[in-house]
Amino acid sequence: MNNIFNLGRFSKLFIKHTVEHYKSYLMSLTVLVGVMLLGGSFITYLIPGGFMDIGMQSALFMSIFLLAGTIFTSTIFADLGDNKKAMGFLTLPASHFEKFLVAWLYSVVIFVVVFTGSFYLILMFLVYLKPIPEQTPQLFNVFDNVNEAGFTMFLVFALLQSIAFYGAIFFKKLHFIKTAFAFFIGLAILILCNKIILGLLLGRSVLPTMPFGMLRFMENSREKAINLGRNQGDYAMCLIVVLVIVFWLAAYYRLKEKQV
Amino acid sequence: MIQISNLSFGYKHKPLLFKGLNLFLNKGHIYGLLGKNGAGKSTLLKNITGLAFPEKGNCLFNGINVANRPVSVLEDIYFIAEELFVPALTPVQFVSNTAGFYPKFSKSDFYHYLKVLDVELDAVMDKQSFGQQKKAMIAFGLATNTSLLIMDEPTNGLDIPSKVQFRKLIASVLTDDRCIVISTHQVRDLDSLIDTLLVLHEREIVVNQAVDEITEKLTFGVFADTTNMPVLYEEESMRGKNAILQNTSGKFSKVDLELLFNAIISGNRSLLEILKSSSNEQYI
Repeated sequence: MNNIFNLGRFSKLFIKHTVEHYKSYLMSLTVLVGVMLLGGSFITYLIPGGFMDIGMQSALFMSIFLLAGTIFTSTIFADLGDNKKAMGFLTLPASHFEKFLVAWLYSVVIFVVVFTGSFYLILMFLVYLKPIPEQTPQLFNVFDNVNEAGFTMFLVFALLQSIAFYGAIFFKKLHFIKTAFAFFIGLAILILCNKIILGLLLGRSVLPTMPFGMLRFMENSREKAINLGRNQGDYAMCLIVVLVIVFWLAAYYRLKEKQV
Repeated sequence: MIQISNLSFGYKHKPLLFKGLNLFLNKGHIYGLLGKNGAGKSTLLKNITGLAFPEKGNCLFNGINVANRPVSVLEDIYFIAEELFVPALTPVQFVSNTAGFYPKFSKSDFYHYLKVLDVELDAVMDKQSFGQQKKAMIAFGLATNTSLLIMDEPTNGLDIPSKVQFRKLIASVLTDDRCIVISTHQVRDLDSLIDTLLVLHEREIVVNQAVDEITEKLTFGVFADTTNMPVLYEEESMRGKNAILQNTSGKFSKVDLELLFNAIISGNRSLLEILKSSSNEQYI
């Protein structure tokens, strides 16, 4: 017997998870669609001169994508916060990896597909119903910029998703709030440490920045910034990828060590 | 089947519940686990099912450490917790997407148990009373045909006819390849069912003995007057004095589990020593 992964067993687990959760997932999707439709209608019809141009479309996509993605992800292990449900979940004869994979598929692959589909449906409805005067209605293509902004957006989503994923299993209740709180506290500590370390390395006072990002300091009463070169920027991207993998692995081992 | 060696366990920031606990559970038995509130019965069961990890020592199921929760172990163990969760599904829907995880699951058994326990097939479980939910999960647990079936307070919430049916079912499903562990406070519900008594007291298993062996060593009875009798423990009752005496005659009496349990947790050393002695020593 394979104690790590078995396709038949994984399929059964996926079906079981779907059957037991589809109602709450459909309700969440309805709420999401409702929020996008109401928000989009407000921008398009109620704000004078409000139109869904490409810039507005991509900004809305990114903000709702990241917010909805992290909220949804932080609920994916909600069963483990309730001892009664956790006992059934942990003693179900499927491997930790299979249980992890079902949650990962729902919060990454299925979420991205369903969210993107819903967003475009509503966008088409709004854009074609009230096009920008004297312009052909245009929809931004999230995959057009896969090598540029699109890639960065998905990378940022992956990072926030992985953090929310870990938070979903680490905390027992109020997963989203506690994860967000820990995230901002962690971010503040990182920026502070980065400022102190860079200051020690350079022997001068520097302004707060994100680690592995730019360097900012004051010189002759003027703020100066040194950005990473293009190739060095790629290293920073690699670091995010590593972080994403680390958080996913941490979530997996947290699941393995979960006790009731 | 279950081998617990030198197990120490305690919850965070709390004193140890078990220290150096050893226990062996074998196939073909129905074990009754008794203990006071907070003695750690449920925690011990969680350690056996891999839901809690010991600080020291280990718990093996057929030689495999349960703390790793390998699928090969999980599919041969079924745990019915005291407070259980049922999804918003009918028993029929539940069995169609959960039974497949248990290789020895029998659907015909499941439907039979549901019928015996008077549980509706098409009623959504989470809309049912607690007792009905519990009976549905008991039926499911029995039908998994796992080698180890663990139940924590299974009769809580069951009405009187259901308790009777429950006892009959449990007695009928025991085979030489199966081990059943029942933790309970309601000893009278199960005193005719269990064949081996486990008592958890002050961080250790103080009694792990077959009921037959206990009756060989102890005599239980109600006496009008126990003066000049070698009483080990007694309690006043409406009918007289419920007493436990050393069995020196070799005659068997029905074990009064409640009285025995009270005697044990009252710290009756002489009674415990008699229980620990071998049967041969009894009559010397």
